[in-house]
Amino acid sequence: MTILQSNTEEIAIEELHQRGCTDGLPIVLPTLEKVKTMAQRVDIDLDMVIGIMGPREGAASIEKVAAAAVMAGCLPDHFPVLVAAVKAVCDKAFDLTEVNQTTHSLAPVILVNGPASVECGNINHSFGILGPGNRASACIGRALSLALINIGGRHPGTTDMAIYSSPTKFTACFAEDESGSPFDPYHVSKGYAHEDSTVTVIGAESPHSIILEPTSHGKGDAERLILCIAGAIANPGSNHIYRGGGGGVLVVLNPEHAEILSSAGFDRRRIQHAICEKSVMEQDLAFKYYAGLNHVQEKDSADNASQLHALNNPNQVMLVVAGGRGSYSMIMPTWAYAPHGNLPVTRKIDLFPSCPAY
Amino acid sequence: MSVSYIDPVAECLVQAKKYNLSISATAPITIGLVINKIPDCDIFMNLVQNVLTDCNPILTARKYYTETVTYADDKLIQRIFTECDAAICAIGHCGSCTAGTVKDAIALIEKGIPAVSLITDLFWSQSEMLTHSLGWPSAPRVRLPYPIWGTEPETMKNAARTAVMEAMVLLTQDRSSEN
Repeated sequence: MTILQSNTEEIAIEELHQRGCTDGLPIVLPTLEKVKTMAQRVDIDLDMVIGIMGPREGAASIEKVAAAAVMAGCLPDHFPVLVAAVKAVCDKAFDLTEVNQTTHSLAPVILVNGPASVECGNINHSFGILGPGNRASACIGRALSLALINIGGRHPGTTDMAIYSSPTKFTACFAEDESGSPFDPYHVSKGYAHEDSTVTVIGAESPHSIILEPTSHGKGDAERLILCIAGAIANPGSNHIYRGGGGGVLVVLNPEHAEILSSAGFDRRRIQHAICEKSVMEQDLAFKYYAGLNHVQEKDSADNASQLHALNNPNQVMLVVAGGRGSYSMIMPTWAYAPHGNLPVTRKIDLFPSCPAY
Repeated sequence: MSVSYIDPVAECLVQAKKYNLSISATAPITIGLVINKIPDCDIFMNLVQNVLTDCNPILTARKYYTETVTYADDKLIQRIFTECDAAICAIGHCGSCTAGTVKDAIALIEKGIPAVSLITDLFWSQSEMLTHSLGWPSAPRVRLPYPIWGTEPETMKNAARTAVMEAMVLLTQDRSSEN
């Protein structure tokens, strides 16, 4: 444990800014007392290393993760979610070094399912899930970002080469609206029990809005929504099309859109299949945009079934229900080039019920 | 009144190792050219191959392709180690491919063959940090101008000549006294 000293708290905070230990926004000083109080919320020793964060290969000890949580403004109740999120991004399948270093503008997005979404601070699942106003959402996402800076060594222009970066690199954490969804929750679809709490992380772009206003007769609304979502995924600037079908995509349906699909007979699996099937670009159009790419060939005039697929497998669609009710859903595409495919990684959240601080 | 606080910066647990590998400048050797899927990397490394064999006719340069823009898989690394005496890994031309190129070189160094990574200067400081964090701070790298992709043939040829000259110096440098 390295303890630093400064003449005043203001100077200490300024020193942290100067050293590049912050995201540029005001922070809470990680005093020993505050870090210990944070760490006491989980039943793990301070020096226990729960993961290694690239690109710096820094040791994510409970002490350092708790320091990030304090700096971000987390309450102790938020900490179990952060611990699980750190474990998830440190999983080899997340390709954290590559996600942190790519020139693409993606950031880890945290989805929370299960009782933890309430017990760990009422994480936002409704209006404004990716905006300001909810302390748990804002602070947990920010704590992960600060951990990536101070443990993983993510610094813009030297190790984080994102050309534009993204506001979601400051914070991106929300919960699924499980009670407002007509489908089983995301974590149940991945084999967890309803009563389990999980965190899922995916390296994704900022949200792309999808508008669909239902018609008065409602006929065809579900199919149109699928087409709108699929078309957004298969847009000309999309890495999914450019890559030739790789990468996961986070699709967030607002509860109203979810009801439209459910009423038309769509369940989760059918939605995933439909989006995967419809996320295509005609080959001749693709050739117009991408002539020269190996997987894009000029369409033979005799070839009448030539399409470029943005997705190869329905499992690439990470489907959740969240947000306020209305005309907009969103997609968050991924980079699609990560060695393990830019797919989501899920970890169980331990709420440490036997912990005295619970 | 002074305040104490926890340093939020984590330590890197990887121990730094000394790089002391080299090949003979006069023996017939095989150099593996590790080529990632960055646009024009293949074209560039063809030029590197030509320069290598033109300058040293007893040298064999063999091309290997990673399947991604990031790092090579273990099978490919093993194959290169088995078939080659040294390697030139290319190209660090974006954030993730720089990570991959450095990782490929270090994977081969850890197996015991000298390897150089080719990194464009926009991503040079990133590669510097990576060699440190992966435990090989003196793993050899060649700095190339950015961009390589999309440049005129003459520009690419000049970059290939620079790459070969500097890579061969680094690969053949006698480091036995550095222990």
